[in-house]
Amino acid sequence: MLVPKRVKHRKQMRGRRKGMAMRGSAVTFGTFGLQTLDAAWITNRQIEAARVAITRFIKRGGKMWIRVFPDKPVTVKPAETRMGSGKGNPEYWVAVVKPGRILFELEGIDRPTAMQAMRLGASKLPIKTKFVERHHERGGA
Amino acid sequence: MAIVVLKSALREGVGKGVARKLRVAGSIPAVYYGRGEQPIPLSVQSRELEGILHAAAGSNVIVDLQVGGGDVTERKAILREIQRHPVRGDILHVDLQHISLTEKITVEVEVQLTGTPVGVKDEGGILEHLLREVELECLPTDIPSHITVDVTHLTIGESVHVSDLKVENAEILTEAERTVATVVPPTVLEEAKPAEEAEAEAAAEPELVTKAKEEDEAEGKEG
Repeated sequence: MLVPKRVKHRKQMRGRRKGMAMRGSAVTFGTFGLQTLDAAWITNRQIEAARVAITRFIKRGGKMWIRVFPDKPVTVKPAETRMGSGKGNPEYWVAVVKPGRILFELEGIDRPTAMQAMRLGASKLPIKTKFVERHHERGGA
Repeated sequence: MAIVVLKSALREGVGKGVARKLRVAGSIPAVYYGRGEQPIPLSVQSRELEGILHAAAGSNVIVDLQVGGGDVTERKAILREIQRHPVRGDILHVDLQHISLTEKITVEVEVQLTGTPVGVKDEGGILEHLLREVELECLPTDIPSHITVDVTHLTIGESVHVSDLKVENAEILTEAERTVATVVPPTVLEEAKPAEEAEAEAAAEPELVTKAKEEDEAEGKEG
């Protein structure tokens, strides 16, 4: 499962998810991609589940890229605890994604296989997604 | 190299408010600039521009820019940059760079692969297309719409490099040793780790950068 090796701070503030993904919104490495249509926190477990679903479907053929990394720690306070006494303990890791972000990319397989693989992967994620393809354009996003 | 006519109008006012109004009205804000020329803010019809981009030549076209309504001034330009909406994909802004048909320019041209490599067909390898664009220096009229490379002969472990590309009337500026495409062995599915092991791995907290620094300093003092 994806987890950072070293971090500067154990706990982070939640932050906001305004706007669109102005970077990482184009298919860059492969031919096909899975693009988010919503903003969300995607946990490392969800990323792993989607990765497994995609790789199992494409079996031996093809190459896959994961374009997001869960580098944000999420803390949770224990159950039945009174408020106060500081921030909870880090429980899991999330990747903050905004609409337009490419999550996974595939190469070396045909279009129908890629579509089906991405559909299976997308079903493991908490957001709406769309299947996208690379298109060559000068300076295009 | 295709030369297409693109009608445009002078844009009055700049900024996001003006740009948004233009987009609502079916136009796209654009800018025309070039060496020794003052940048001119323009607007072009969105449907006309999309039509040019969907034509066979793609974005590698010379634009015969017609500015203004009555006083028509013709200018030659290339589409230097196209900004698109991250989700919808519609065009937000276009950069048109002035060119001279007698002066060489630097452009990026798409590399297309043809054929199925032997390593993929017979050996089950995966064709990786690593470099999708190469930089060329040539006259605007000599810009190819794309560069085609035949990869049929590639077996597993073999590659095509930039030095293998052949382009007429143009000089390739991208480093000659860079790999364009290669055939790699098929990926092996990782065996799933037992659930307990995976959970333990996830539960382990990562090392703190500051802590590691302090430890290093302490070791330095002792040593």
